Amino acid sequence: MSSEVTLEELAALMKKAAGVTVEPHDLEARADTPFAEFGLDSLGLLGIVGELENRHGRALPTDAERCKTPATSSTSSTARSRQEPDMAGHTENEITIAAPLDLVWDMTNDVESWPQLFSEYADAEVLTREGDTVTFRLTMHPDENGKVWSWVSERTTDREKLTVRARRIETGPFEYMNILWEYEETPAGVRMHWTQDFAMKPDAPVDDAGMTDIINRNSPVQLALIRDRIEQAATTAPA
Amino acid sequence: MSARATRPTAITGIGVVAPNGTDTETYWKSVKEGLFVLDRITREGCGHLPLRVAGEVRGFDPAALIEETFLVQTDRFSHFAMAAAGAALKDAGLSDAAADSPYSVGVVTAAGSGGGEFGQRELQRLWGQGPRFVGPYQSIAWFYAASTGQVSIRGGFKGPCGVVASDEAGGLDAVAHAARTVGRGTDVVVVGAAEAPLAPYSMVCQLGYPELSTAEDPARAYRPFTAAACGFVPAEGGAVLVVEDLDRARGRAAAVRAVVAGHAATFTGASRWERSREGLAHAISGALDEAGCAPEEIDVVFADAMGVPEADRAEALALTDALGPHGTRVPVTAPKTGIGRSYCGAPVLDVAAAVLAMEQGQVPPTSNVFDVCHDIDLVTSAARPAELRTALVLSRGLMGSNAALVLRRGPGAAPHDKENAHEQ
Repeated sequence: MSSEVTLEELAALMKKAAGVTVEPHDLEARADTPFAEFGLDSLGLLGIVGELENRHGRALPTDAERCKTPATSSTSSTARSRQEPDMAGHTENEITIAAPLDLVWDMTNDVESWPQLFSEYADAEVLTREGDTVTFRLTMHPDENGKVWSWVSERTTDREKLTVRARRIETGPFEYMNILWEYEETPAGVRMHWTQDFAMKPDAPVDDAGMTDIINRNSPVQLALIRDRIEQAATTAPA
Repeated sequence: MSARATRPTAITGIGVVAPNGTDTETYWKSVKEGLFVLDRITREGCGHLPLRVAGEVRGFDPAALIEETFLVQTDRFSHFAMAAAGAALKDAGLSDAAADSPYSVGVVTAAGSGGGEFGQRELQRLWGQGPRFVGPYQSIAWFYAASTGQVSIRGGFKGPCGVVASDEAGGLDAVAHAARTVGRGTDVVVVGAAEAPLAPYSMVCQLGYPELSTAEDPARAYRPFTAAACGFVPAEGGAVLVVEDLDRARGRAAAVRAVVAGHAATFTGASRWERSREGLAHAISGALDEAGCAPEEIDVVFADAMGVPEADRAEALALTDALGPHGTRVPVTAPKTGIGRSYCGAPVLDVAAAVLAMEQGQVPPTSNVFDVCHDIDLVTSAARPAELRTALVLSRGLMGSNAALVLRRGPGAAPHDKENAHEQ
């Protein structure tokens, strides 16, 4: 399945869906220019998102229509253009866990027990649960300055496709934060792959690059911890 | 509307998109000559429907007039409205009206049916391909309010905006609403109505109207006030006016083409044409009252001319009820017999024709109507020269609304001499 969105395709879509005439090289040169300045309104952007979903046969993150610029649009479509500088934050981290798929799935998706699974969360409170979608508040342990970070997220699991999509509802310092977890069974165990797409607000204490570093430092630590705890559970669980 | 007494409202701009002309000059020339353009419907997908004859707007190229970003998100009815609004603003010398004070310009339109063609296309996608293939602009394009919104966005107008949804007579109610808006302090209001009811879905919606003419022969389809009356013929198009505070118009040396003098509206129920006599007479009296106008001052009447025998009789009688003996003597005309009824657009087209008739000193003829069977002085065959100071425009809707609007000739204009009007 192709997941590339080229600048040519984006330009053609802007023309077709919203009547906006723009040259691909102009999109490249002005990748940080808000879509509104190209003459694209929110419904036009929504139309482009819908057309991309239909063409590529996959749903884009629920926040995709909120992206503000050509640069972020290519990011949140999880389909980055080769020519294009990636201006927003994007991280990918993964680990392979030697445990049965059911156990990995159940433990990593039991949001209430995340404080026992991750080392960074002090509390996880489920606010609503509807079908495969759960809305919950995560609270971190106090940071070095004594500040307690807390936010609300929404997660939707798809057991059949072995994917989980999540996004922050209370976005805090983030413009948006979209998370994709993918599970895959391999000979060595279950590979869990985390993809995070985000952009920081201009007044956030760190910028996109700074947050990318933080996530890339922290995720491997958490993933290793989760692996150890699940593998521990697998060996002690009754057969 | 006491506010109007202190702040009279001038018409300073006219824009028209009609079956007999897509600009004001062509429209007036066609109207004055009684050009008859009703024809078999040629729009795609309409051939199998029992509605055969209509007034189609042909030769209208929206892409030549309107930016693509607006075209992709709007229906044909909004294309007409945006084109007519642009022409009206240009006519008023206010093409850049928003540049100085965007909050001083408002927009009011009337709409009878919204964006049927656009809506049908998206509904076909819904049922043919699935909900994911319905474009997001469906959420705004079909809507009655679309034209007001798009005209205001396109012009950058941030003053009071509104949409009148009160049946066909809403076209006149919109003009009155705009005049009230000016009375309350807004300098300029862009007001009018345009409709595009000739798409398959829209046409099917109209088939239930007992008043709809399903005649096959264009020449026999719409003949109000005659023994051959067999219903009305729908049409596309409409008109947009620029109205503004009279003093302000004078202050900027704009040509005051007419003054909105009085309006009233009544409601007498759907298809109860006999009762519309009383409703229309009340509306006429109310409009005259507000205008401070005696019946004898009315120099010309632009009739509703439904084309249904009971409705035509009711209108002819209402004229005498409201105007007394003058009702049988005043020249009456219905130019819409040559182009059809574009629902809310129709009475606004009549307002445009009335303004032009007063400017030119010509009562245009009622096209294709010859043997009048009611006691009114219907002008037929050819335009009749006359000094016209005051015009009465009437409109009724299929759902029972009746409205009357009184217009006075622009103080600066003289009959037969529009070219020299600025020297008066």
